Amino acid sequence: MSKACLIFSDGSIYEGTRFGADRDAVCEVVFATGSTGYVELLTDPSFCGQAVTLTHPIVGNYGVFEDVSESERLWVGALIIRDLTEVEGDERGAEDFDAYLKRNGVPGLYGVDTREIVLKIREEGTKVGAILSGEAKNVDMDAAMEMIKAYDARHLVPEVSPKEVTVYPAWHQGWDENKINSARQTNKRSDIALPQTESLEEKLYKVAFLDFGAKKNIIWNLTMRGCEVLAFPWDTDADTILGQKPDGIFLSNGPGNPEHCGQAIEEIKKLIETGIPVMGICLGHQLISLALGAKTHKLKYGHRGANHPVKELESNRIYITSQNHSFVVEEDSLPSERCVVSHVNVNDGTVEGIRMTDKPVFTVQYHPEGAPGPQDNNYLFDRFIALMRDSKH
Amino acid sequence: MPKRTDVSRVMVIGSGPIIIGQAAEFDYAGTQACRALKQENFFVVLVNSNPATIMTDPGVADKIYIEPLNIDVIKKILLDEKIDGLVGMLGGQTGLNFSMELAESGFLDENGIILMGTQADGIKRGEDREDFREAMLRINEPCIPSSTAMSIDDCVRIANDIGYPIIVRPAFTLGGTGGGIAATEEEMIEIAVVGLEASRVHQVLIEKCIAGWKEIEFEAVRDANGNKVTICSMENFDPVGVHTGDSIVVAPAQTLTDHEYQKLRTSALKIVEELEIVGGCNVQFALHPTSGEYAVIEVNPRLSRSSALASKATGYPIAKVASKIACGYTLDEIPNEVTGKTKACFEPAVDYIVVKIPKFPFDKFVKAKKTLGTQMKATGEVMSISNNFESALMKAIRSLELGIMGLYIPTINQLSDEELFQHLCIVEDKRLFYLSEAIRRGQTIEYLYDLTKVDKFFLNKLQHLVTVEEQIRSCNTPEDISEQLFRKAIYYGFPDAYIAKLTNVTTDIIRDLRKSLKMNYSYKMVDTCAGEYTAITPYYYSTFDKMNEAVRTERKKVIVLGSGPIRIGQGIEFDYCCVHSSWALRDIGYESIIINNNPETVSTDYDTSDRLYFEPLTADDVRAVIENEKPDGCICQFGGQTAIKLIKTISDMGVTIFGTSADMVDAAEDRKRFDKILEDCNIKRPEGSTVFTVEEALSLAEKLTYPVLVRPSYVLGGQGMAIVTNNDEMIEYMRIINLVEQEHPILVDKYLRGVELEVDAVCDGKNILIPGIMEHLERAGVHSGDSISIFPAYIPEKVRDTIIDYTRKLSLALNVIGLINIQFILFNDEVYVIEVNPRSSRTVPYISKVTGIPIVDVATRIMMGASLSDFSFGTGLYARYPWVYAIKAPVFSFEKLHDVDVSLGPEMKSTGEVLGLSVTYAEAMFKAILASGFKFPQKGAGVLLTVKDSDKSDLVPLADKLLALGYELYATGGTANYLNRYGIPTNSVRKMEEAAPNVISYISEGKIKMLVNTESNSTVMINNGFRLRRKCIEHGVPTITSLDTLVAVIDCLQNQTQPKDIKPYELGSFADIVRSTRNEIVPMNEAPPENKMLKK
Repeated sequence: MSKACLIFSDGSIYEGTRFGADRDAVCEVVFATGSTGYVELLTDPSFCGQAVTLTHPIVGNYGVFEDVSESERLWVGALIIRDLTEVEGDERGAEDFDAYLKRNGVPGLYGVDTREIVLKIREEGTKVGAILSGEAKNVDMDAAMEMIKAYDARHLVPEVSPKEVTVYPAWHQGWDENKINSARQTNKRSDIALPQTESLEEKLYKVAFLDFGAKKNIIWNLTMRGCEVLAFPWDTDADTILGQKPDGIFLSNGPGNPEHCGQAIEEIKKLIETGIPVMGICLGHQLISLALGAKTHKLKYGHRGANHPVKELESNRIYITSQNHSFVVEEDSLPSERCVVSHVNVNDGTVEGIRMTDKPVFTVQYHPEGAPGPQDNNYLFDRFIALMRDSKH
Repeated sequence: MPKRTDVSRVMVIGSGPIIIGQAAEFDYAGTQACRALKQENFFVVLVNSNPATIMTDPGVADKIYIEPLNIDVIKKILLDEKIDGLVGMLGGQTGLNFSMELAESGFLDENGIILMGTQADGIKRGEDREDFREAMLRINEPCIPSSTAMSIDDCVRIANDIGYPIIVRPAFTLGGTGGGIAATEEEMIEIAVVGLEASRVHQVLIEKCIAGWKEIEFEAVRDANGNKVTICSMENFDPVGVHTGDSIVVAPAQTLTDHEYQKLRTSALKIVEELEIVGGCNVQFALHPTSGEYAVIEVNPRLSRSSALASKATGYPIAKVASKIACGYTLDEIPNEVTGKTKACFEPAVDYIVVKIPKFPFDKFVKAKKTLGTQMKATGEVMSISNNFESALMKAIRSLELGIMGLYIPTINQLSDEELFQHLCIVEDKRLFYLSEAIRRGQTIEYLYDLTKVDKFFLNKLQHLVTVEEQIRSCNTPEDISEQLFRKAIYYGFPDAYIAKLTNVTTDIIRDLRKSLKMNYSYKMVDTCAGEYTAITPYYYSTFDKMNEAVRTERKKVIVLGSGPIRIGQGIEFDYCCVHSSWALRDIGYESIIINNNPETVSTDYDTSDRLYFEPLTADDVRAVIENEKPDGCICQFGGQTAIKLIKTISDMGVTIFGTSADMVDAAEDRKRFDKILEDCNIKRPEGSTVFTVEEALSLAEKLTYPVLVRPSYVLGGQGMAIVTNNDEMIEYMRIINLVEQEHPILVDKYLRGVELEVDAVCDGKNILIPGIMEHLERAGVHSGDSISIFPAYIPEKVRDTIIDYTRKLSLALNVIGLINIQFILFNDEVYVIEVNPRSSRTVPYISKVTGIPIVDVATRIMMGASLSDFSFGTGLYARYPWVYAIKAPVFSFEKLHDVDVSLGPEMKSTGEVLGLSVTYAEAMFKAILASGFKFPQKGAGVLLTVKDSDKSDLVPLADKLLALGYELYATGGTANYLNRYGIPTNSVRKMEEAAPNVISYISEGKIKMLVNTESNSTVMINNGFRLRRKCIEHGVPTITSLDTLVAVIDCLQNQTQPKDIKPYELGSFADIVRSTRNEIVPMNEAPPENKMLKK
């Protein structure tokens, strides 16, 4: 296989071997520390356009099962790993990882010292890098510099958000249509008592879901709890949403800088005042905070992994969370008369969740749906369901 | 939550002697715990019978009791020390069982003692099979179909319900003692009989066999507030069915999808919540390889071998954190000492691959059954770290010190296809190598997967290694190796020496080639967070990447070589020495650097040294660390044979050896050079010489006259040593020993049956310091590590002086700087030298503790330039006439190893040791024998005597005493006749080859409660005595194979001492007695005044 290099603007070069799609790329380079779930990660729209460096040293070990995809396609701009495992003749019919990336047009680089890249990003912050064919000694540095210079942190949400409204029926718990009706019996995840219904088909709640590039497991977590989910394009106006008379409103995760979503923020300001329960995750959390007048800023190198401890201040309990974000809400900028910080990161003290004190609105910065990552925080979906139940009665 | 205030004086129970299933990991855990508790200003009292541990060192706890781990003894110390808090989760199953017994009997409540950490009911829900199943049912976690049985009838009924094959698992045992897989009712009954006996509560679990599923483990930690995290996932190379301690283990788990991983992780957390764990817990799962169905196999609601592995694999100090949790803290209040910035409340992220391979004792027990199952057989383990699986595996393989550097074993290569197939059909210690050989012969991954169910991920990696190896082998010279192949080989962890061997050139050539390609060793840090945060603990592993994180500091520095995996003959004692040396170096201002590969030990704790290299101990790997660190010098005399083997390589590199030189180490090992030294010093040794061939051996033996002692040179622990009494045995011995190519000659010496004496001494080049002289209870012929060792030796003044004189002469002749260990034989009033080791020995920790002289600390400072006059211990013999007795007794793991003869000889067989301390001989001996796990037979019980002819006359007075003590005597033909003739009424019992009732049926029926059996020193193993002894071991009948040992046991029986009557001695006060009485001369044969009983 041919050689390729990752190049940063300071001229540092990391030579490796190509796999996946054979094409050059220029991306913001980040790192993620989870040890499992590469397919989930690749298909997470929040990674749109980013080159992800995985710290887990061997990738592709169990091949690819597409039914765990978090969206209809791969969004990651490029993948940088230490060592690649090939899968052939798998009992479960898993596809080879390299073949999967090739088929989906995502370039990969393996055989690089991923730890060195991680330490560089840790020390110098997230940076733009170019991946070009060639060996370190003869790679086209000028082209790389041009590409890096031309890179623009564009508004990514319109790229990943659906163009039309999608309806996800209640009790749906994955891509497989057959699983819809069995969900109610097999669902052991919900700790709250769901009201009895005559028909298993009948939905319990209607959730208006603003899709900024949502991970599907968020939607499944709602549908498996009996919600019908109406997923709207990110720029849908408040009146359209409210016209559907939702029992609750959900703001999904998504890529990029939340300040790029100014248009949505204006609509969110209206939505959170209605008294309809609102829950936000990740970008959704940042947008609600911005709607409340808070500020956000970009972290030096973000939080990406499945091991971040978060303290829920009310219960003084700590939960291990799945995270993927560059931006954080500034605690001091939150209007203390309207909301409280409900969750903080144990490692660096950053805001991990807020709760409005005058409206049934709460958010978290991390990913309670896991995928990849721990399932410890599913209880937050139960909490959202409980808010809808309470406001219905 | 803040630190708890309801306790102030805390007892930590250790795990006792090293046995299979319970090794050095609990010294590591206990030491961390004691230090964590002391940090919180608790008054810490430690009880452990194992003197070779760091945890029993002065300073680790406030008070240390090296006393038998017996419930009455523990109760006594609890009350005497006014203990109000008990930590039981750190002493393995032993510590947990005592804690449970104290809690369940109400003793803790009655005396206001709080069980710190997980509470008794939670532990019971985790440990008791029935309670556990109920608990799992309650939280909807799947278990394997099973049921507990209290009798054989139960077992049969349940097994029929579940359907064969089934697994028998005894409750409350270590390392799965007494368990096994049975495919038929007959097999099941055989296993269940032993299993019921092994269980403390006489209970076994009959369980559905789920062979072929993946075995996955999670280590979890939970605090009292309900916060919980998993520290590490681990995946067994071998599917379910092999004890995890005997499995190759990879961390983190590699073949699980996120869905599977999270499912098991969530389950582990639910379980620790249900058991209300306050501390650490291990959960083992079986996962179906394709359906994703899983089942909980078992939990260990305590610190375990797996938690030690998880700690070393991730850098997360589970024992320390668990101890802080027991102190009342919550996870978010405990700092992560590795990063210094984050908290203990997180899950480590790992950016490397960890491979653990067990170390089996089959190189010593050549004829033992090598199949692996639910009962653990490994004595120790090695761990390796690398950035790819292949290289991690290669590092682990060479860390095992099996004489191989890769996946190729010549004897396996020579097997026929049919033989190879037979080996692949069963699970054996060398499965990895059989699989590799099959791949080498072109078997497909598909085929091997179907046959073994080892995940294809692993098989594919083996194929990578075999392919590279074969490609290199096919190159005639290194120049034929393409650059791409060469780079791949280095990346995959092929050491220079191996590539050199495959291409028949010197290692130097390959090393130069590698360096010319700029493929240099570089070191990466283990930091718990995959680089996300800066880390401050320097804990490294090698890769061939460009960036080196182990940048050399400008400080003066010394490398201490570790001792590798725990094995018979090289145990935890050497780790003790390395740790102390590292501490001493720190104290005198050196940067201390340790290289070791054993995950169970204190030496590989990240804060024992200033820098830790988790690397194989081979010439290539050590050389690379030296090149990176450029130390002022290396210390090789503390890491046992593993380290001493490397002294020449290091010395040849031009690196300073601190301590005795490589040349003098060779002088002590080389027969000719050493004989010359003895001659010059005018010191006698048993007559003997060296041979290579059978013919030479026979003619030499004839000249010396039988019996003779034969052994290979350059070995530790008496490996391959035997007493040979006739030509046939000599021929057999030489045949076996020459199965392995012998680099060095075989030593043949006249065997003298005298009293063995042993000293450890420190020499500064001018003077010597001998802390004390030890005497072995068993006469020469039993390996010193297997004999009961008595300090002080009661020997004539003249002999004492001779020993001091010889020790001085030999130390000076060998230019010893640091430690020397010498073994003598006192035979017909003459002192002979039988062995000299210019390095630390097994007895160093024990003699250090009882005399109060920190021998390793003193030796290390001397190596670094101090002299004995800088210390207050004087020179010569320190404890000349101490009014104490410190008796060390060996502990064996025979019940874990089938087909191993329990009879003692010159080859070491014990896995651990215990110590009995007292001011009287009788009490010290009783403590030692009690602590070793010997079950004293009750009055009236049957004792079976069957001894060799030469022992029969010595047996008479002993049998008479046993009779007088009220025991019922049984003996086989010859022995019975002999005793009856001397008027000692003895029941004659038929031999095993005769029809029942015979000895075997008597043992099975429980009529025999002690066996005394001495065998002629035959190398032929398959004989009746062997089967008899095995039968007794399997039925838990104490077995004595030397009349010297019987004398000691009878002494104890005569005194009728009970555990509740013994007086515990605090170690510090014991050393004080030694110090204050050491030079008070008492006449020979007159015991110290406090001694009620004279030594024989």
